[in-house]
Amino acid sequence: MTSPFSDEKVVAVKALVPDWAVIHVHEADEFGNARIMGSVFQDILLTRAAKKTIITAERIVATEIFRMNPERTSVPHFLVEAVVLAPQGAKPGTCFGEYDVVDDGGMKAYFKAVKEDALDEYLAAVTEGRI
Amino acid sequence: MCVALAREIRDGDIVFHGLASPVPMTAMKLAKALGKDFTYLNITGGVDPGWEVPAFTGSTLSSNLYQGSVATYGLDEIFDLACSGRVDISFLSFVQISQKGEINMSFVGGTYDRPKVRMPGGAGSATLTPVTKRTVIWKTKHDRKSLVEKVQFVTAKANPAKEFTVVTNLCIFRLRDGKLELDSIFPYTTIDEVKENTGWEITSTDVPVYPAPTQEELAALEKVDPNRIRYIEF
Repeated sequence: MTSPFSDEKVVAVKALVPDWAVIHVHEADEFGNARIMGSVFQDILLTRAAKKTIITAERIVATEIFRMNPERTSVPHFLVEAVVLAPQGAKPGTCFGEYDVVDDGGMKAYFKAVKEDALDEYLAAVTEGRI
Repeated sequence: MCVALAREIRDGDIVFHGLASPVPMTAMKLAKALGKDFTYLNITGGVDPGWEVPAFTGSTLSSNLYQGSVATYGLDEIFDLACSGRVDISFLSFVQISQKGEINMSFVGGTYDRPKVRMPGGAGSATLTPVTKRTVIWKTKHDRKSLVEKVQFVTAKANPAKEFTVVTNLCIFRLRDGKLELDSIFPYTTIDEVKENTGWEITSTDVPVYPAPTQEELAALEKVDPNRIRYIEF
């Protein structure tokens, strides 16, 4: 299209609006306030773009923790639909400062499960601590 | 007026106010104190600041609008949220308004290039009015200089498809079929007083009286604004 500000021809790209963003954080409270304590990558952008966000958290903490340092809250509660307590939830990936090394065996098991269409068994094994 | 604005807030709303807004600030804190479950965003970037911290100056830029917040959500994010249609109420004001819901915040007198009085302009209003789900305008001085037949400049315009409400110190107007209609008058005034002070013709004759503030609302108001900061606007 032609730019409304000049004669230049430009490409207009419609904003992406995911229905859901799911991100893993270090701390969250019961209202959905969530805090990432390290690298954020595009996680924060995802929560602003998506209609609703689900938070998985290493720990659930008191709301008072967020009130003490509001600038450190990564996701405010009003964007969040649900909070899941999921310690080690980013595995086999990494979580800054909590587990910084990729779980190689875990990754292999995950890829194998995807290839063999056996994700349910894989997830059961993870939940039960067998992987 | 604070009570009327607080009553416009519904559970689950995301509500925003900006600069120079002691009355909406007080109204939002009042709504919190009365237990309404909504998200309070303001221009300082604070999210749900503690209503227990009273205002001590009339500036809605002071620290009490940030203290006790659970998060920060800056103007860039607030405007993005609004533009994606996710803000429920913006509390905005005006210098001139017409019956069609056209707002002038730009200038009065003279021309655009050489005005008699230059005002802040679009700022929030021009962007927020079209995209916010419900616009609630407040004006503490209801007079013929403010409610005019024709505004000198259209800084922002009400969207006839959305809720657009004007709360003055005398009454409440609501936009119906693209025109502001008198919805109710406050207990201490009359339709005649409203007509005398409005620059467009008001044809409504039978308008209900807005329910007076309750004891509970008044008690909460005293708790929220013990320093009577809201009176600065009157």
